[in-house]
Amino acid sequence: MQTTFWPILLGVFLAGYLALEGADFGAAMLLPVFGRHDQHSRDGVIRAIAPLFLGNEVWLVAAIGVVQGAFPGLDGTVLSRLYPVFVVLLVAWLTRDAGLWFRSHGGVEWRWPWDCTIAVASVLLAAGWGVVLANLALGTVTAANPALTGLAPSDQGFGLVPMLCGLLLAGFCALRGSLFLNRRLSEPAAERANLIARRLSLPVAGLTIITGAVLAFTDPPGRHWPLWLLGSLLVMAALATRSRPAGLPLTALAIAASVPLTALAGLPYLPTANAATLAALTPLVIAVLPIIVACQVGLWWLCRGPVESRSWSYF
Amino acid sequence: MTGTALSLARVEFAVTACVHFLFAALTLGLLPVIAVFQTRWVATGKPVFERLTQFWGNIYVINYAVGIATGLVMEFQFGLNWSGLTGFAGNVFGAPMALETILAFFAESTLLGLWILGWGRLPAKLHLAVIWLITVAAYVSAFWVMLANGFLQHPVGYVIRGGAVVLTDWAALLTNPGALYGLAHLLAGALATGGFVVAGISAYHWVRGTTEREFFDRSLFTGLAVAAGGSVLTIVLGLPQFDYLAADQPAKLATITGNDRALGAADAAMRAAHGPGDYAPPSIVGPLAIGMIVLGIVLAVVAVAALFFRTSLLRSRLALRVLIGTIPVPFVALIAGWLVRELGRQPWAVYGVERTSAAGGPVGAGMVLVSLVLFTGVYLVLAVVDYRLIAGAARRGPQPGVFGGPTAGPATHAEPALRTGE
Repeated sequence: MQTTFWPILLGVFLAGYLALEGADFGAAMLLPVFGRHDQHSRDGVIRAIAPLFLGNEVWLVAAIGVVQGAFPGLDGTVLSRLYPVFVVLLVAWLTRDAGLWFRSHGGVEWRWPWDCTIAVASVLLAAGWGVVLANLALGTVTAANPALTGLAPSDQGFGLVPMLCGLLLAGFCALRGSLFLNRRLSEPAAERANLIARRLSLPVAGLTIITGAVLAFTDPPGRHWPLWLLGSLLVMAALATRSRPAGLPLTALAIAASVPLTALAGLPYLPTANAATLAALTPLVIAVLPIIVACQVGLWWLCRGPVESRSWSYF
Repeated sequence: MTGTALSLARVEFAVTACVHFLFAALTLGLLPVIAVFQTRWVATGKPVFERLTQFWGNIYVINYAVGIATGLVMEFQFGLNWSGLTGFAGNVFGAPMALETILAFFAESTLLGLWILGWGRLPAKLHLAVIWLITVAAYVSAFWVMLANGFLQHPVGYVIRGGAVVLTDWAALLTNPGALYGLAHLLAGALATGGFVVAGISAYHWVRGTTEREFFDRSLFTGLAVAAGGSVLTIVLGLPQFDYLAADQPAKLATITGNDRALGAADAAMRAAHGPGDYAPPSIVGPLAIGMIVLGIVLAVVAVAALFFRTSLLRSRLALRVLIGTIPVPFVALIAGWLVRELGRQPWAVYGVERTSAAGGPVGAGMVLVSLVLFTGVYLVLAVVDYRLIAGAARRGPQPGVFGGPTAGPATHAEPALRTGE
């Protein structure tokens, strides 16, 4: 039971992180689209994501914790193999968070530069995770670890397919973010976000197909059924965003699904920690997890309504 | 890892840990103060307690930003630079780290979102429960982190099987004296830090002749009480560590006390057990320890004296200025203490079990240098901006509706920049 519980928990945390933060990344990418002079809409974007980003990004923190506790050595393999990718990710993460914390705590004139910084950092974050997932799927990472059976090693984390996947995830997050803003903002910003989603949906679907084609040419086909499934899901979700109600949950589902499907393709076997360690960890985690999930639900419940100019002020 | 890469990785970890430590300690110190103010607000219904909660709560939240950011990078640094450590000791070292993130960090951040957002939206008692849960989560977080650190200082409850550490005794890990002595000393120090910050900022407003007399009288008294209690406790809880170190890490103690004979004996004992090598910690540990002790005593004297002469304190601008000037001192003492603990462990990553030179990962010096420069640059900007924001919020004093909520006026409160953009 231990050896299935922990991989599933890791998958849930990572998938939850990407699905939840995907909306934040994408929404923040739209900040410059509203322009320097439309501060009202930009404030709305920040108010839509800022109350949630803390609660969203800790899913990744929890995932890292799971790796450290239940898969010791895995983080060393993955992180030191993809060192430059993770340095970019971490710097982007710090910068994005700093922007969200600080942009509203100064003069009005200091918001626009922060907003542009937040947008660039969000693109890098989404793209960075795309690169990481692609490297996991291709087995670049696992090849370095004899305990894991991987595919052909490639020396750089920044190959053509990983770069395309980075672009793809950034595009997909932008799509998800615009639908999220359409739900949370009031007119006319909401309609603007919806328009962006409609314009993005075909290019993102196209990019998915191109990435799939490049993968098929560079790598022997047939070994990646989880990736073909993922590709189809992404195309479907991208096209579904043209009809609003289905788009938001479907984009979340597609992003979340990318985690287990990537792992299936590239991480056929995860070496878990010693049974004694898992036996110590499992009951504590099972006892506390429902409370934290309840708090997460509470946070989302508080943020359920549309953002109004007076609804919330801290960020 | 080459020697250069290892040195750079150590500097990188030290910088991250020190910046994290500054902000995390203030988090630990401020939270109980805020929770007590909010409790009194819910109990008495007096508006001053709501304003106290919001003012100090705002400073805590701004401060939290850097604490969380550097904490995140630290989690990743184990994988980036120290896979030799996580691969070897991960079965034991990873367990408290995992529980820290899942049970404490996860809960703390989610609850903090709920607390910020919950002003005027959650029922008062539920909102109060949230701040207490955040406080508990923060302290539980410190417990797990120190448990992981304690394993590096004094490894217990394990055997080495197949070239890696395996957990054999969870209870021994949970009650590791190498962790708990340090934890108690550290938490008292963090409380003192919070108390001095609250007292110092309040003293600033008294010097400036504030009209918020009740507000800053309560703040000053609470801050001084916490500072006095915390700084005396820090000393009391620090003393037993000398006896403990004499048995457990004699080289560290000998470096602190400057006892060359004891250091030679400790070195010889290490050589007999682990083969030839230099087992003396860096000599800077000595002056750092003396500095920490002197500052600790000074802080305790200042806090206790100020608390004792509290009624006449407000008439003496000099005494108030001393309190303002004291604000940075506990931070310096904390960093010094942390460096003594960590540098004093060298040359071991896991004391007596794994050398620091074996703890690095397969990473080149160039790569580590790039990450060191980038991370340090970002921390520097973060720390400076955050400090200025905290100082600005502290100087402005209590403002209505920092978090929105019922005391906030309609619409206008949504634009804090209009107030602050002066």
